[in-house]
Amino acid sequence: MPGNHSQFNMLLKVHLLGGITCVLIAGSAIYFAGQSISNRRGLFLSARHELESTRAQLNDTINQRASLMMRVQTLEQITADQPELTSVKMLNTRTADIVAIAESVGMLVDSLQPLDRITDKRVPVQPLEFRGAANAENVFAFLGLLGERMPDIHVQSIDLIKDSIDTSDVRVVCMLYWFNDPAGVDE
Amino acid sequence: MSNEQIPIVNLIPQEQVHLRLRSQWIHRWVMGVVLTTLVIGIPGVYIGGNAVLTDSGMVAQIQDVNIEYENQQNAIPQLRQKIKQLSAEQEVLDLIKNRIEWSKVFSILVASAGERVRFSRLTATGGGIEGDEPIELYLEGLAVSQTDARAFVVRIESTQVFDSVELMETTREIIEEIEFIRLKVIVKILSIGRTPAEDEDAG
Repeated sequence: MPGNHSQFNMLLKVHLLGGITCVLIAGSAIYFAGQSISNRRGLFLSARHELESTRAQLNDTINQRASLMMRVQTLEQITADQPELTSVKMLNTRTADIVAIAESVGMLVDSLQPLDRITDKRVPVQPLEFRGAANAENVFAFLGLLGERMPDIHVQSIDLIKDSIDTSDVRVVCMLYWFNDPAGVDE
Repeated sequence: MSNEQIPIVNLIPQEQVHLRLRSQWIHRWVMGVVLTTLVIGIPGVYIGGNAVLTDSGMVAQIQDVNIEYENQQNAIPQLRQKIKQLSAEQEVLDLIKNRIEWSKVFSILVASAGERVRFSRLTATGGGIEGDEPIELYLEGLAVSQTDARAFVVRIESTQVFDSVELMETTREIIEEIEFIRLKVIVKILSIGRTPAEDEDAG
């Protein structure tokens, strides 16, 4: 019958529309939730991995720093009890001190001149040429005092010349090597 | 004739019946859609939105760790520089230790000379910056006699401070009508490792 057929079609449309609407709502909600959770989980895993690797790097750095700190402390302890090194910038103070030591034991100081600095060796050294005069005992006293008060200055060469047998005075030409503090080098 | 036998006559027009049926189904489906929205749609949107908006705190943690990492990293070059400086200083200090005490060496030579030998020249060179070069001492002087000159050399040798003692030359010389023996001696120390001071301590 045409009337029943028309009614069937009409109801079918209603069912289709209702069913599709429900399925769309449910499907969209499930898809949105699933997609969001999946993305979130991906981000979480990625962030966790990044955090773990950054923490590992941090731990390595902390260990490295601790080991370097320990080395610094060891070196500081070793150098603490040793003579203090002086920077080459203190050249005038240093030469004044050397002259003061020489004159304190009765030496006559003719000159104390810095020569070209030695920088091509393992450690930096400032040569100083000392010229003066005194009797031999005073020279030995000077060398003794110099070694005691300025252990960073070595006598590289010394020439004691007596001009006359009648006198006890000697001329002294001495090459001093002053070992500088490497930290004070600007070159 | 019973009621059951009376045929039912639907007086409602067929079209009206269809419309009512359609309306009923539309109403049911609307209810179904509302129910679906309430039961699945809204919770789904809530869960999804929550997942998007929720911060696990991981990013903040990563930032904190990164800041700490950078702080630690920045300290390392400074420490390396400090170690370099201290190592260089230590190297210098090690070399400083490796020295010869000239006043003691000269005292030994003067003591060995005694009253019968007088020095006219004493030259010492060597050691070098690293203290690894041999040290050579050149002595020139006047002795009262040849015996005194030889005795002086023997006395230097017997101190066992020096690695070699060599009497290079002796010549007769007259100064102010007095005869002397001019002597030239070369004394060598091959290594500063054994210093006179240590020898004295050991003795």
